Amino acid sequence: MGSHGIRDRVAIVGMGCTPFGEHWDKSVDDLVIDSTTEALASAGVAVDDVDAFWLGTMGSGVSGLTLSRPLHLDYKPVSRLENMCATGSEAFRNACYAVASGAYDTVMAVGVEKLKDSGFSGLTMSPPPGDGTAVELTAPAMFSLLAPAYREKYGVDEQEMKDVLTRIAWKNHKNGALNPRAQFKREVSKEVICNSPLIAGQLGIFDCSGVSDGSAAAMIVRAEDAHEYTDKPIYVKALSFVAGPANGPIDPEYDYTSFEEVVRSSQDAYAQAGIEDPRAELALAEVHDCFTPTELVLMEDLGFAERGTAWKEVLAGTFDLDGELAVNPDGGLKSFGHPIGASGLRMLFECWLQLRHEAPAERQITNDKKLGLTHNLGGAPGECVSFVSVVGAEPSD
Amino acid sequence: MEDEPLADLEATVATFTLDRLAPSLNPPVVAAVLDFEGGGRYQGELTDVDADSVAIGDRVEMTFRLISTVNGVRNYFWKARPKREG
Repeated sequence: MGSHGIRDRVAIVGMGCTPFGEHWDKSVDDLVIDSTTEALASAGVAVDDVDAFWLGTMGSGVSGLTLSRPLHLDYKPVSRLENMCATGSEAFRNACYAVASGAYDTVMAVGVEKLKDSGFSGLTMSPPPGDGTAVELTAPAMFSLLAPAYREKYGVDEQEMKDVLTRIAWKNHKNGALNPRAQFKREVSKEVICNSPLIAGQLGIFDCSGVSDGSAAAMIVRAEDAHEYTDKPIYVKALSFVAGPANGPIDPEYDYTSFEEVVRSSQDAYAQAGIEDPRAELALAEVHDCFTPTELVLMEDLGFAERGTAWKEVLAGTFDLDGELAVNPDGGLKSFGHPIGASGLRMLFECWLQLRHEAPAERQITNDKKLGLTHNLGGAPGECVSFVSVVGAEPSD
Repeated sequence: MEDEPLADLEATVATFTLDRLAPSLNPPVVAAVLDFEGGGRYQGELTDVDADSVAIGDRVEMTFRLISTVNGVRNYFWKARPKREG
């Protein structure tokens, strides 16, 4: 038994990512054509040269036909995956394993989601019918449960917490303003964020990520073949995925100030990648900021801040674009938007740009670190799935 | 397996929120994570409560209430309300 990882055995050699936002004039077909065309061009590969595909979407299509039809694939294997909001990462993870196993030479992971056309602001899910007694809280309400619990545990007063949450949203909008592909390409003042209409608990509308349409894609090959495609491949150092036992809502031991699933998946990923001090070793981290309290708690679960200190680190600017560790330099789910199946691959797209020094100059991270992290979460506090990847610009020694 | 009735036990608020988006017969939904005396946790709705005064550590008791009406069927289930004195 063991989680051995596939460090440096596969590499990303091309990526594509559509702008995220309200694509009233584009279908799911259009979005996957756009992202895969960009990824193929980026790798210099024709679609016929791709051996197999993994498509992540939560609800914008079922089966591999969702991809094979618009791409006119020539009888190729296409898997369709779903793992809640970590769906895009799950597509990437399985595609990487297929190459590492030797089953295929050249594969593509694609994520897509089209949320805006439903006319409903948020996720439309159809759980199996129950007895009608479950209290169906909305996603912002479930994540807002973190805020009072964190305040109580660490002695943070209500106004201090509001300032912390506001600063996370402000930072991610500030980063997104520098990103031409982001859904919300503008800065928002702290005053506006802080006074925005309340949605759930302490969370206002600006504490919530963008409901969005979009697609992203990655080309993956064996590491030893990577230089046939690009001079700057991005090596996969670690892939970790866990599904928790989902007992938070029934177990009084769970205190709503942490995601154990994130702790476990990050520790596994750091072991695979040989990372001892993530805060010092990572050039950037793309994390699942679905709501502002989530990003706060993630800073501790991912080991970027000591327990009970992330709120102070947020206020001190530790995770700003020019801070000690840039978190969500592309704007994150908050301002890049969150088309579910695409988000995990969108996070990798930012690592791809940053580690190759191809991000727009105004948000290019200029330190000499070579590793990037993506973290993607699905579910709710106490009952979630978590994915962590580490990717790097150089093979390990 | 033995039944462990919780209906007559008091519970304590572990964390809470006010969900202004959730559909409800009694909006906005005041939801809380409740830890029962002697063990057991339930995530449910509070009722007969001043939404702005809910705090971690509040003591509540269970009450059987109308929770939804679907296709003319009235569905009752447990909610929690602040512990009444006396």
